[in-house]
Amino acid sequence: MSRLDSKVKQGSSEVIILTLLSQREMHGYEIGKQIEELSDGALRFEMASLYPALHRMLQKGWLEAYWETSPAGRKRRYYRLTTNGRRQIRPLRRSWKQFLGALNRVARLQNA
Amino acid sequence: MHDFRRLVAPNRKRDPREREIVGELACHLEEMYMELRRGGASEQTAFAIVSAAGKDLGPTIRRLRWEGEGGLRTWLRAVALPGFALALFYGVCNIALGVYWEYPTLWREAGLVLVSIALGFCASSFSKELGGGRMHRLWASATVISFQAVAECAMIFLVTPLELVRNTHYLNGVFAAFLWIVLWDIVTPAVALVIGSLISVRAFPPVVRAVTLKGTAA
Repeated sequence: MSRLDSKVKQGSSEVIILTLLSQREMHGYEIGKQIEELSDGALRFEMASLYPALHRMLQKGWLEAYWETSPAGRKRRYYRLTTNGRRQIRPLRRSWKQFLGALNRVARLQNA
Repeated sequence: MHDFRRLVAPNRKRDPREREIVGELACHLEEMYMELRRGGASEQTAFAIVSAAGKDLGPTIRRLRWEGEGGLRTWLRAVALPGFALALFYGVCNIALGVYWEYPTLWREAGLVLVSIALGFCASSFSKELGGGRMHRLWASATVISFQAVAECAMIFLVTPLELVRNTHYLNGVFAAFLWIVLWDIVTPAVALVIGSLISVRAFPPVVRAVTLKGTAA
């Protein structure tokens, strides 16, 4: 169960980050902020979970990172999707849709 | 402006990889600080909130640094280091039990099994602290028996041919003795070490903190 739990958490962070970065390039703080805002504060990434997730996806070759200096002179490390990362979005979304559909059927989430 | 790098890693020797990680985490804190300030928080309040968020980032920095390393370095750090360090302990315990019970007895073997379970647990737990995954932890525990296994195998495969040259009747009954040695000195402790490792994995599972739901703790 704990293994499934960890896989679910890891998988959820991947699909969220990939979807956000498919819209535009962002730095770490911006990604965390977007997730919090788009979920109305229901989902929140701590630093200790956000950056390991980003670095894991860098290792997998789904993202690439680069440093850029803003007009205000601040250096930020931006992340963007690679072609490989873009290819992952659709299958990940599909498997999540299947998973949530199955969960809904079993646990009757709509009636909750 | 505050030095957020210092907040992230106050006393660290920084190699280029670590400097990049610290820089990125410092940028995160800086953004958080600026947003709080824009929201009307005083400098002190904003800095106190940011300091709390940036506290205890040491394990995160280590984790990020290790994730970027190659496989061999991970194996050396998370398998060889805890495995060989505890192999020395195992040797000492083995000798101590051998001195106390000069001849093999059930008590001696039971003691060795308990020691093996404990050392397997320790090796696996140390490996986790050093960034090891499930497989690294299992191998770290198995490595504890490596010195013993090498010594026993050397004895069996090197001494036997030499003895055979001297005495052609040497093999009579020696196979059963070898089997006994392998079973009690290698296989049994190895199984006990793996059991210790599995207990450790159960007690301290790999941490995957991805996303927190409001009102819950990840």
